[in-house]
Amino acid sequence: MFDNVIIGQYVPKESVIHKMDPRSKLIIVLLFIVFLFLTRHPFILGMAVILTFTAFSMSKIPFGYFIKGMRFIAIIIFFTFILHLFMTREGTVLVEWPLLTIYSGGVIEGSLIALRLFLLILMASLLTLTTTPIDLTDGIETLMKPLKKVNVPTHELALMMSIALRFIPTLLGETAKIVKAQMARGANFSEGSLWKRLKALIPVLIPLFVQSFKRAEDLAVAMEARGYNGGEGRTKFRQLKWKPLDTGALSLFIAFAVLTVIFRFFE
Amino acid sequence: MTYDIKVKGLSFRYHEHAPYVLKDLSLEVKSGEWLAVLGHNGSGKSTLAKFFNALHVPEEGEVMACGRLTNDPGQHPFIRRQVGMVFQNPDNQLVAPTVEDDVAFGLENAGVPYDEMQKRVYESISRLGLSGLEKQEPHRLSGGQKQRVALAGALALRPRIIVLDEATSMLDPMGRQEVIATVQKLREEENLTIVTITHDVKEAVSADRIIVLKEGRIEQDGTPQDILTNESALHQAQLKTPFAVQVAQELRKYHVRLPDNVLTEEELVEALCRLKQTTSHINI
Repeated sequence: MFDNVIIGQYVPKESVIHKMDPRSKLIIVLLFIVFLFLTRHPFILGMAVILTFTAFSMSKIPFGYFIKGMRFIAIIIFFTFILHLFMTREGTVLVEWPLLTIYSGGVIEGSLIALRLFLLILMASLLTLTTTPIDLTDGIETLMKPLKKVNVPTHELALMMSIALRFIPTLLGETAKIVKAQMARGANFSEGSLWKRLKALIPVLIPLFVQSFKRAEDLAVAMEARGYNGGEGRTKFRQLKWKPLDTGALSLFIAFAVLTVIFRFFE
Repeated sequence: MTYDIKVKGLSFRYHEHAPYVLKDLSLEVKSGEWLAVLGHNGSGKSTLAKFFNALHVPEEGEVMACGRLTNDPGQHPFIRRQVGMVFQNPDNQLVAPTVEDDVAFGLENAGVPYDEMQKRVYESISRLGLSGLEKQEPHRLSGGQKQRVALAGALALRPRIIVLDEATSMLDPMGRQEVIATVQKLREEENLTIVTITHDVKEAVSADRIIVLKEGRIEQDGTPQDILTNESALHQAQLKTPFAVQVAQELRKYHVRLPDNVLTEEELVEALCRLKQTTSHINI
């Protein structure tokens, strides 16, 4: 089931995109998404397509891998397209049936939203495909640092994220163990109605929760024993390095944003 | 003689009305000594271990670690740098998503500068034979490796004392051997004070001194030689004599003249072989 979701998976490759600083990648993706939704100009959209595909080909991630992961997303994009197709009532009438009319505006609006969604997903997955979760956490933490002034616990949030990442595989392993243990006692997870199957999950979830609380307690003691005392006065083992490459890439996307604004004013 | 840990008249219970887990306990651990604390479940041995690192703070009695009273919260950062702990469950004490990040965790907390931290992390990793696993995720490591990562994390802080709180009890025999061998090696190289908390008598064999804890009191205090061969005392504390000692005692009943200092299987084999050389006419 998880094979079909590629957002959040990391594919190790030696590429320029992989080498970029997570901070610049995060800013670029944010910038790109915001300005992508501000424009309808064909020139800018064309530029966005070129930028996205250049970035993708530079990342050396096989396109097939991406397509495989897109199946689920494709359904969402398709439905958004259909919805816009039927709901927009602008432009000339293209098809007129007793119950539905399709306007030319609908086709344009639908294609536009589908293209934007497609590019958005492509860029967002490119971010996670080329950045390890740890680097991503680090990037988010540094970018959120200004929020510390308004009492947002940025260090704690980042630590929580990294601990969560650390424990996902451990908890998955434990779930598999509990499922087997319950099956050995005669539990049945693959037969019966949906309701029955959901109910069969309860004896898996309860021990999992109990164990997780136990783990959390142990971990808290271990952290305290190792001198953890909040974010104050802490140094960092991982240091992010901003390279000329990052400045270059970021400037390119800032140019894209500026162009978007210019085209919007002169439309 | 300097003492790294001094416990005086320590009594402890988890909350009011609860029974006392530790009862008027006094103990001194010399600098560079390897102390094994043996005890059955519920003897209070793990609770005692938590006092050494100021995870518990005494209300009755006092605990000094590296010359500082653990009652003073201002001393806690110092004490926690000096007293490294390794806990029972290998899965529940690694914090970070990779080995190197985890080894660095204590150093980050202590505010060690970046360059020094890099140096110490990799030094510690190679010293514990974990080189090549720096970027590995904890869930891909074996139990023994995980405990060695925890040890590396403690060692990176350059502590004086390392406390192993049942650190081998959840490992398979291979992992157990791996961790014990590592501790032995570290002790030889670093002149560390080591406290192992365990219910496994085999682990206590190589210690300098053993104390046996029962119901929050020290029942026995002596060398492994004295304690592990004393079947009745061990039995009272609900502990088993090591297998090699049992075999030796049974053999002595059949007038096989084995020396008194047989504690491990290797020593037993050695003693039997020597016996066979000197008295070749006996058929064992």
